[in-house]
Amino acid sequence: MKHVSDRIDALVAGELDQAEAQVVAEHVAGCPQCAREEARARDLWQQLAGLAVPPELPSRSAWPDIQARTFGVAGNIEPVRNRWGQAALATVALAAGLALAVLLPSAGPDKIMVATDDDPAWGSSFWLSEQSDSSLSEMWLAAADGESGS
Amino acid sequence: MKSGMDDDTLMTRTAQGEEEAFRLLVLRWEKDVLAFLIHMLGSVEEAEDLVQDTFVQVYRQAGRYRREGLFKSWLFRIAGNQARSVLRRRKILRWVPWDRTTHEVPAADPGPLAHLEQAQAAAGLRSAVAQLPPRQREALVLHRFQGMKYREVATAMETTVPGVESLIQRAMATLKARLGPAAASGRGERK
Repeated sequence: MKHVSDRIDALVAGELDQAEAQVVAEHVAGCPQCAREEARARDLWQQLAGLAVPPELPSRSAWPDIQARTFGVAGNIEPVRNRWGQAALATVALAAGLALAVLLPSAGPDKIMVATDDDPAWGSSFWLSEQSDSSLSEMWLAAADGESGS
Repeated sequence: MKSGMDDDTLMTRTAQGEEEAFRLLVLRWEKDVLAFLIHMLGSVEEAEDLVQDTFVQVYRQAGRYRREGLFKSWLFRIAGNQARSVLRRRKILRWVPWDRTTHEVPAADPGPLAHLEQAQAAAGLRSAVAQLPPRQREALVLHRFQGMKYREVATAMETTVPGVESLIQRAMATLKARLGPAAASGRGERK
């Protein structure tokens, strides 16, 4: 069973039934430490209330895009993404590969590999590998465009 | 079609292929879902994408929805799953250094909102919320920002009411610790 002081957040959140709330409130009234905790929790709770709506919340509706993906002519088409497309990401991967080749020490890698992979669960990924005498290392990028299950 | 129709009725009609019912559902809930996803991900663009994905899932699963008056929990369960999927992917999105002796693996992202101006108290709090572990953040956002009761949050997160209480308690403890005395500075008006 939880100690009364462990129920202070639930009290402040209004999640205790009447009997529980009374027990906790009575304890808080007679316990300076719990009273400080309760005051602190209420202050924080109030501050959090002011954050409910993110200031950057866009006003446009997503309905046109959702409609296109559900009731649209094409039906279930791919999402209208804000993120970079795969082509852009592939370009970045290639550019990174070239940069890697230039920036690496003169000993340099024996090889640099650029590869892609499409996985329905994870989306597309692009990675670069370089092999030298002493080590094998790689870097890769993944495009977060896979269909995520619910 | 009446816009005042309850969610369960709109879902039933959506399952029957009524576009207007689905449109009303989207218009009714999209801002709440978007706000939730922004809090979870810290990225408006990603959140907007996931709003689409969430409602496409709602449409696809409409036939399996049961009329129990728990549409909001069901909707936010889908949105939460979408957000968790993105957060899981983020964990492995990193550069692996080619010289492991001289390069360190970059530290994990301190939080999507961590770069907001720390000078503003609200921004500081938002940042602290953004850095909470995902499940704590999800429980807190659903309860405090979306106005859901613990039992509704429990349904959305597929956990128990004591589990939700524990998540929120830990989230509050973390926020108090990170914000220090500022949390009790009285910035928030007492009611």
